[in-house]
Amino acid sequence: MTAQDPFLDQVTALLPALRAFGRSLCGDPARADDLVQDTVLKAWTNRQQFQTGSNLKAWLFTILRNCYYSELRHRKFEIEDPDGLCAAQLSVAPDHDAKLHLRDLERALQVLPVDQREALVLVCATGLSYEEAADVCQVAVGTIKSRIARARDRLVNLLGDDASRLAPLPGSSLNDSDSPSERRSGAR
Amino acid sequence: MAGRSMPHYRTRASGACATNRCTMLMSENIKPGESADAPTASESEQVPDWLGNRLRRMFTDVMDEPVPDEFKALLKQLEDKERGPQG
Repeated sequence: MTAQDPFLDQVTALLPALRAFGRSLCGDPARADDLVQDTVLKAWTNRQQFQTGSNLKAWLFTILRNCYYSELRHRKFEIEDPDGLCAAQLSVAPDHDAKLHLRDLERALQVLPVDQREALVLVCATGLSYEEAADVCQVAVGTIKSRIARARDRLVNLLGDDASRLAPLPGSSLNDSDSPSERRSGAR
Repeated sequence: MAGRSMPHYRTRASGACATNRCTMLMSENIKPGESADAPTASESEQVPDWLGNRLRRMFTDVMDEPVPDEFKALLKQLEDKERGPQG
């Protein structure tokens, strides 16, 4: 809405993606937003290092990831399961609605080692290519692929049974219960 | 901060793809060049649809949330700081 600095314009456009990436990394909305704030500040401070024409999204993801890792180093003992809840709650996964289902995925993600989590999220959720994800994580493409494979195996193991019991998600199922026709027919 | 020259970046849209569209890229979209890198991997790292869909849904749900005001304030602050010394 304002005539912003072009760099800040682009950063602004990427804030939703950064928030989503941050949240899938750390599993905590408030903490994720702190990470995004740090990321924006670092990006701004180092904006001269951003190479014109390269992928700003990947560059910002790299910074966010670095922020996350340096934060992890400071809270070393809480890494895998900050609240001690993940594993416990997974086994009692409620299956009444798809919203909770998604929450299960968020919890399950946090059970994964961080390197697998980030690889899976970068490629399967954020839409980065394997190569871009490899750049962000500073590893080879093959490493990204094998991390994704391991992450997938673990998640299928954690959630797959639940998923098959619920039958394949129709895709639009999140709001199905809100549809008037269904409500009407259900009421009678 | 006062002596800093104008940043060199140009407003190329390449890096800032429309935020929602980014999430539409499917994991199945393995580029030809990449599968050559690991011949058998294209099958082995395949993520089942239900999982891929849920991952994207989880991600877009957050992306659809309004960005908190604190971010706008932060960006405004940076913008003002940049503008300040140069009038």
